[in-house]
Amino acid sequence: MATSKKSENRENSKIDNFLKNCFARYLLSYDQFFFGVDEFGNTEPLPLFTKGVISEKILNRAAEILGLAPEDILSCNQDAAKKWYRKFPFFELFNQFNTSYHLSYQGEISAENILLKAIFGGKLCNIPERYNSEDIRNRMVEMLREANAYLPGTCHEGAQIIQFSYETNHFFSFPKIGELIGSFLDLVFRVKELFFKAWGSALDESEIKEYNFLVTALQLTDNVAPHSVYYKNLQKLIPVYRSEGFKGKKEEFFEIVHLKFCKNFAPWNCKEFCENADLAQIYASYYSDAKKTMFRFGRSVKYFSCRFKWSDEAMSDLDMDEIEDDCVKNFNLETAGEELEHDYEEIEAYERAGMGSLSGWTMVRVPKTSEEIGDDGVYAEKLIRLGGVPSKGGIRQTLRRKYLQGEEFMDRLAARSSVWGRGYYE
Amino acid sequence: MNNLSPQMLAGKRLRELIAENYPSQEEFADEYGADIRTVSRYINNGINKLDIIQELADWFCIDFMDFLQERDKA
Repeated sequence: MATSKKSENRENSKIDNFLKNCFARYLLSYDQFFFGVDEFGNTEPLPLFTKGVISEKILNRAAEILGLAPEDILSCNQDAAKKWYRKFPFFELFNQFNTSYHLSYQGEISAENILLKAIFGGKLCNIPERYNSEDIRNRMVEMLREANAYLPGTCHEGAQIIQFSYETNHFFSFPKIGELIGSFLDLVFRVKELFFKAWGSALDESEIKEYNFLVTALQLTDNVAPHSVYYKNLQKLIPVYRSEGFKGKKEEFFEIVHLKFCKNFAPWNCKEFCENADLAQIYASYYSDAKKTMFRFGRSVKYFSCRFKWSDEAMSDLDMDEIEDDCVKNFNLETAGEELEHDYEEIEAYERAGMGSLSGWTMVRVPKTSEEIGDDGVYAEKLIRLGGVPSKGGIRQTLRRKYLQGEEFMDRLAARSSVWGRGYYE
Repeated sequence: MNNLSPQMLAGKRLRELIAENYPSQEEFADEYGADIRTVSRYINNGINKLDIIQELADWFCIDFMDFLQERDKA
């Protein structure tokens, strides 16, 4: 009895690992799809097996997400698990892209820190400082003083600068960027093809699996209600889309859905992208935030994004002796002490959206010296130009996302609630 | 004689640059990634933040000081 129990546990564990590896192969996290919330409001993963009993709901849902049959998961079918990897070169190229990205930030970071980050996520710690933060701060102060002559109030004479931190970025090299974006477009073409085929007739079993997998990989999301458009939901949504005037034509694709995946894919991180205006223009026809995001990334390489508070604007009950300057020790936003509530880009975006000022922070960008920026300077200028005004070489943001408001939005949202109900996975 | 403060000059310069390069302020706001009300505020109330002027100067590929001077001096 004990032996068979042991053997059953081993088998269950094998299936569980197989499933987790399936997700990891496509850079997905099992936990992001299957989680519950404990009594303290913390999320915790929902296991496939609980006390030796499999959750049919999770099994079927995982199969849908991965474009597999439930039997493939139960039998740990490696061939089935790798089929999308083999069919679409994108995933291998994207893995290479991400590896190059992470290695480029390695520098003096120890293997131990990389492992800690892989296990625990979040920020790296104890990273040797690449830049001279004291020098950056001094240059910032000088800049503020000079600017005060033109913009009175820029410098608070007599006040201290507290909670100073900075962040910056750099480029890495990825010569296959053209290939990577080409393979990304292949995914989009295919999902679009299947999406609109479903408007005319039912997809067959293998097409359904392929379509569902592509929805997962691209995070194909409805433009009104933020839910993925898996096949079983698409079938219910098509009458809704038709009632809204859509005819099922390919040019309507981005009016109906968007590729949420693009938010986490930044091809402009590599130098080769900066040199290819055609590639940048192509990408801007698939991602509505491409132009402004690449512009801001270029600036984040060219400058140190500094932020601080003026002591005369700080809360009066702060004990000034306990305030220490926090210096960023890595290329992205890292802090020596407590994690900052909002990073530089979030604060800027918040203000640009007209939502006022966050927490009294002052932000200013300090240009890097030629020594600090190295050859990144050339690429940063190119990327800034690509992302800037079209008359000076900027690309056009050809894909624009229309955000509905008011009654029209509420009506369309209500029409979709009958499909998704209250949960993401219904 | 110019009586505009540097902040208001920056707002005026922004209006001019948008008019030269975009069919509308909405189109600029959308492409630049700002709310149209923010852009209107910059134009009508002036721009008093160094960081914003730096960013706009980079966007329009002009020198930062061009934002703070009258057009014929730029």
